[in-house]
Amino acid sequence: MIDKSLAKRVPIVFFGVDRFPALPLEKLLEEGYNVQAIFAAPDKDARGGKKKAPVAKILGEKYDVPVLQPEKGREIIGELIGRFGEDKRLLPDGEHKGTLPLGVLVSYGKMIPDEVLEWFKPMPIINIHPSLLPKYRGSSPVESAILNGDAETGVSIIKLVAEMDAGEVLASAKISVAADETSASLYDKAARVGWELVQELIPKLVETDGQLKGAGQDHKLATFTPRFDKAEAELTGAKTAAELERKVRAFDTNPRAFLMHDGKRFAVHGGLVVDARQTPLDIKSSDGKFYHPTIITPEGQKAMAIADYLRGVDRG
Amino acid sequence: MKILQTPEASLREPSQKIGEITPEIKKLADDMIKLALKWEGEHEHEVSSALAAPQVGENVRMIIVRNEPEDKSDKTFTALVNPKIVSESGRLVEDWEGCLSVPDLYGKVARRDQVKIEAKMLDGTEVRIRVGGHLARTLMHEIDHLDGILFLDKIRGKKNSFARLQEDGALTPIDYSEIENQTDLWGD
Ligand SMILES: [Zn+2]
Repeated sequence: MIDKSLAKRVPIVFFGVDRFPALPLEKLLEEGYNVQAIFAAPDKDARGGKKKAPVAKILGEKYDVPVLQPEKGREIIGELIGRFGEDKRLLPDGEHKGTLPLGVLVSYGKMIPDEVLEWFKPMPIINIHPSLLPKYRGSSPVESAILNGDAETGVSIIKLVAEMDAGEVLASAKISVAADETSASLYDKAARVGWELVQELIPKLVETDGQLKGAGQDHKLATFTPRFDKAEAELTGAKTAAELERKVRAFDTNPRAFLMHDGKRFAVHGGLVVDARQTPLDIKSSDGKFYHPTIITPEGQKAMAIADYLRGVDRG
Repeated sequence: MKILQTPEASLREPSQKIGEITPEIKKLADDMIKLALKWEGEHEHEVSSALAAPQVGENVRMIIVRNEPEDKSDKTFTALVNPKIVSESGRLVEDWEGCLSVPDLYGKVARRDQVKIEAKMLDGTEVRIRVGGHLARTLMHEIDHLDGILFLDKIRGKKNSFARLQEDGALTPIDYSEIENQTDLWGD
C-alpha cells in the first residue's frame, strides 16, 4: 500500500529550470507539494541595464517558496546546510519516512557537486531527461532527436549520479516526434509526460526512503549529444534538403536557424523541401533538391513571409 | 564549436564525469584537437599545448594534451577522460601560464613540479601517469579547467604576477591595477 499523502508531505528541493519548460515546477507548486526551496539560475542582464529573473524565481515568489540563486554550483551545499542543517534528518533514524528532502532537477544548467548528492542520501535527486536513456545523453537530446529524423523519442526519470546522465532509470515513457515537431513543441510534450512520471514516482520514493531500484543503463549503448552554438545553426552545406528542414525545426529558439544571403543574415522559422528553386534565398543541397524557407526574419526586421520580403525588395 | 573566452560563465563551472566513452565523445576529442591547431595557426608566437572540453562549451571531464609541445610540427595529442590528480609532490615552482580562453594575458603560477594522475584513454584503458616539469603544470592547468578554475583565479590579487604578450612574442609585465577591475576577466 502506498500512502499518497506522504507524497505531499515530503520536503522537496527543486533545481531548474533553464531550457526545459517550467511545467513540472508549476505543477509541484500548484498541486500543493511541500516545495521547501527552489534553486534557480541567477538573474540575467537584460536590455537597458535591467535584470531578468528566471521563470523558476518568478514561480517561487508567487507561491512564497524561498528561491536560491547561487552563482556557482559549489555554493549549493552551503545553502542546503544553512536551510536544513548538516544532518537533515528531522526524526531519529528509522522514523524519518517522508521527512528527508527529495531533490527534483529539471535542466538546472549547473553541475551538482558530489557533496550535494551525498547530502541528500538516502534520498536521490531525480532528474527529468528528455530522451530514452542511454540514448542521447548530454545537452541536446530534444534537438538531436529532431535532427536525426527520429519518429519516436522519450523521457527518462533518472537518479542523478556523478557521471553525466548515467544514473538508474526509475521510469520512462516514449513520445512520438511529429513531422512538424519543433524543439519547443517536443520540450512541451516531454515536460507533460515527465511530470506524469514524476508524480507517480514521488510516493514510491518516499515509501522506500529513496531505495526504489531503477533499471541500470546499458552504458555500451550510450550516445552523447553536444551543445550547439549559434554558428552551428547556419543552414549551409547539407547533404539533403530534408536535413535542412529538420535543422530549422531543431533550432527554433536557442540557437535559431539562419541563412546568409548577399552578406545579410536571415533567421529562418519554417520552410519546405522543393525540387526547383523558387526564390533567391532557397538553399541547394547535394541531393539536388532545395530548401525553400517560407517564414524569415531579415536582420533587424520583423518575421515575415518570404513572399512579402521579396515583394518589398522588388519595390525598392 | 569555438573556443570560449572570459567572461563566459560556463568556464567557471565545474564539469561532469563522463560515464561511457561514446563515438561522439571521441569526435569531441577530434574536434578539440582541430580547434586547438586552428587556434595555433592564428597565433604565431604561441603553441596550443592542451585544451579542456569546457573551453569549447562542453562541461564534461575530458582534456587533450599535446604529445610534443616543444615541436610545433608534431601535431598529435592524447585525450584523457575523467583525469584525476592522485597526488602532487616536489618543489613549488613559479612559471608563466597562458590560456586559450584568456586572450593575451599570462600569469606566473606556483605549482608543484610532480604530479600523479589517473585517467582513461579514449579506448577505455585506465592509465596512471607520473609526470614532472612543464607537462605536470599543463595537466594541472587543464584539470583546473574541469573544476571551473582559470589560472588567473589562482593568482588573483598578486601584484607582480601578470604579463601581456606583445606582438613580437615577448612577455611584458603589467601593472596589476590595469586588470584589477577588468570585470570581463574575473567573471564576477
Ligand atoms: Zn587554459
